Amino acid sequence: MQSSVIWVSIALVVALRVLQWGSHYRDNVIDAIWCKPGALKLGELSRKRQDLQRQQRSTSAQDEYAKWTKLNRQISQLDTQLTEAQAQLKQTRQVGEKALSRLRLILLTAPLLLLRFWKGKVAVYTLPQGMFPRMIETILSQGWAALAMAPMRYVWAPGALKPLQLETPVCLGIWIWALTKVLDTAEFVVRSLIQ
Amino acid sequence: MDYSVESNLHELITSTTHKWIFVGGKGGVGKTTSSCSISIQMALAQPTKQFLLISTDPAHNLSDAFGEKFGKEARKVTGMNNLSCMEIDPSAALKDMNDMAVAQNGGNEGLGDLLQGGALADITGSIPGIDEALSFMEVMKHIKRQEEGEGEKYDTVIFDTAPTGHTLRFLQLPQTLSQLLDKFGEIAGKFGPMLNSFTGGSQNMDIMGKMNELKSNVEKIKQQFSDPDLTTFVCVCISEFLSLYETERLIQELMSYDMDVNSIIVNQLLFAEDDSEHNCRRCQSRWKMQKKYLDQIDELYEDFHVVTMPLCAGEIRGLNNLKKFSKFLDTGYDPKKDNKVIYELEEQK
Repeated sequence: MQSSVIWVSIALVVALRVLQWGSHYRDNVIDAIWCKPGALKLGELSRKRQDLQRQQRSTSAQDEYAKWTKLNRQISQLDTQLTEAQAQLKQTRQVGEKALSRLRLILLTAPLLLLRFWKGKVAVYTLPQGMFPRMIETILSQGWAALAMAPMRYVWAPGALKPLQLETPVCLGIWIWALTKVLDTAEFVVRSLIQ
Repeated sequence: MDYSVESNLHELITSTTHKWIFVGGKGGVGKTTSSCSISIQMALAQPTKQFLLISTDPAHNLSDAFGEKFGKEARKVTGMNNLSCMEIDPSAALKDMNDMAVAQNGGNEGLGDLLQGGALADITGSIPGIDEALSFMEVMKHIKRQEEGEGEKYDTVIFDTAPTGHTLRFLQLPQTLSQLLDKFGEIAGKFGPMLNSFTGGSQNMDIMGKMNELKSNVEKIKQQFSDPDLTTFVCVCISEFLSLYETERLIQELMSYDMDVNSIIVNQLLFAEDDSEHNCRRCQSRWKMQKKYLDQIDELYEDFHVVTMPLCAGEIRGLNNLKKFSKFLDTGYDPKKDNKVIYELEEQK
């Protein structure tokens, strides 16, 4: 159970980070899923307009005024349709962006947040004893109160000190934070080297 | 030239339903002559009705066309019992507004002194579009008078409009005002009592009431302007590329405003091939160019009444000349039978 929680946390953090690095994915996904029909329509209208403009340019306005004006009318109509299609595409894109953001929130951000609150105190691993000075290990394992209570120990249990079995666990919340920071630093180093 | 509909304005001239007729087009194509001609023919065809010709062009020409002075108050044309003319004078209208504001302010110092100096007229007189706004106010006043039965009642109002751009702006006013009043209504709804207090304790203007009245009038006008039985636009042009292109743009713009437009007057045509006596090389060449465009107009405006009018040897000024010239709007101009008239116009002194 504990190891699965850790693996899930790693997966979520890495997935969020990968999505952040590949931010252009967003436009591609939105274009592929939501905007394709609108973009095709816009492309077709643009092509039609270009054709009509080409025809109009090859027509003399003075010698073939009627034909030139009819082409002009069609171009004006297409301009109106193009403006409408562009507005519709923009709206569809906004819907897609909203949907994608919501999906990311539900699948990645919210689970990670829940995990931090729900399983935040789960110990990922324990630091070996003797890594830090005794006083620091006491604080890390038992909190600041242990330091405050230290003089009382001599009153209540005088005599030689018994060795303490201190455990210094690293909880999931801290570990996720540490992992995020490591990834940030690695990203910074790589970017600096590339630039 | 083959036109599938009648190439005259007989239907419009004898119409009993039209209340608003706009005559417009590019500058210098003969709008004033055409609007005077339409008014005269309508007045002659329907002697029991009253007609009003209003010029909304800041550079008025009605007085010059009829050879008598018209002002901001409607006055009957000499020799016609049922045709009146009016030239809207923006500066005079603004001065009237200024005087009204002074009277309403009463003894208020500061603001009253400022207004008495003509400040309101000076400030508003140079706003772009003020001419169109004042013409529009005149239309609203006319509708109000008709509804309340005040003053002279006119069955049809003909507008001699300013060149295309100004007219389009004028016609956009109902839509623009309607949107503006909607926005203002929203604001006033929230801040109404505060706005009333700004106007001063003694005046106690009901802004909301006045706005609602204005909005209802504007809506009425919008409805009337988009009813083809009540309102129509007659385009005037000459048979040249620039004029025709502007006419085309005007027609497209009018259609987008839902305004009926089904008549085009093509002025200043030479008909050189039917004039054996006066047929110089220049006229021949020009007529060839005009004819080329006339044939194109047939193709483009199949459903329109396209009326062809000749270029006369003299100026078409004065009631008699206008009567002679305007009858072709009703019957159509036949260059073979009617060409004598272009040399028969009396010289106006």
